Amino acid sequence: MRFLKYLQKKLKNEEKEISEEYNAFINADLSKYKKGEYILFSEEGVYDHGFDLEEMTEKFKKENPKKSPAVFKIPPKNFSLM
Amino acid sequence: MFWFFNNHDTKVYKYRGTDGAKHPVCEVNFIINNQNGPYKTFMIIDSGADISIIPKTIGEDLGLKKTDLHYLGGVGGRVGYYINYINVELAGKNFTIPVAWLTNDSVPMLLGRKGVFSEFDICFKEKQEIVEFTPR
Repeated sequence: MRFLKYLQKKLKNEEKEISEEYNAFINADLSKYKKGEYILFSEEGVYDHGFDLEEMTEKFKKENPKKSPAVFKIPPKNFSLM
Repeated sequence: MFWFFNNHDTKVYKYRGTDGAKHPVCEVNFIINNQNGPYKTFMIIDSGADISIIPKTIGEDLGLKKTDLHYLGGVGGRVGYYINYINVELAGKNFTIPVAWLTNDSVPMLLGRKGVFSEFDICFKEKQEIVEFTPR
């Protein structure tokens, strides 16, 4: 019984540690965005994308004053880690 | 049962691809005190980079400071950068990392070794396309 409770607690904690934005990021199709573009993720999914990060962040903050978006930048043209 | 014996504090992040090439990407929260904070990002883990790199626009959003200007040289030419120290939250741990804030937007956000790799045992599992962070 104690072991089962432990497993339930562990599962609950693991669920908590993965953020909604990370889930949205993992499930998004990144191939459809342009190189160098910024993508803003909210808890619901992709909020917006484009090259003007400041404008997109401002718009997000106006609509969701208490929340922060999560930002990912698509690697720009000619970028390689090699 | 293997799952049961895993280190409970280990965080697993998946590889993500944008144009065929897949990179390990993790969630990094920048703890900043301006109107944009806390600032959540997804950074490509670059084990070959000494230091983490922030492109110009994101550095402006983060409110980074223009300290002494340094230059990086490479095949693609020279690019300037400013060193800043930022508090971050990564894989359930809070600590400070140095970042190179570039003067242009020619790179994505890269998570380098300095300040990060000393905090975790990091295991890249290429075949499974995951990277594991275990706090030290």
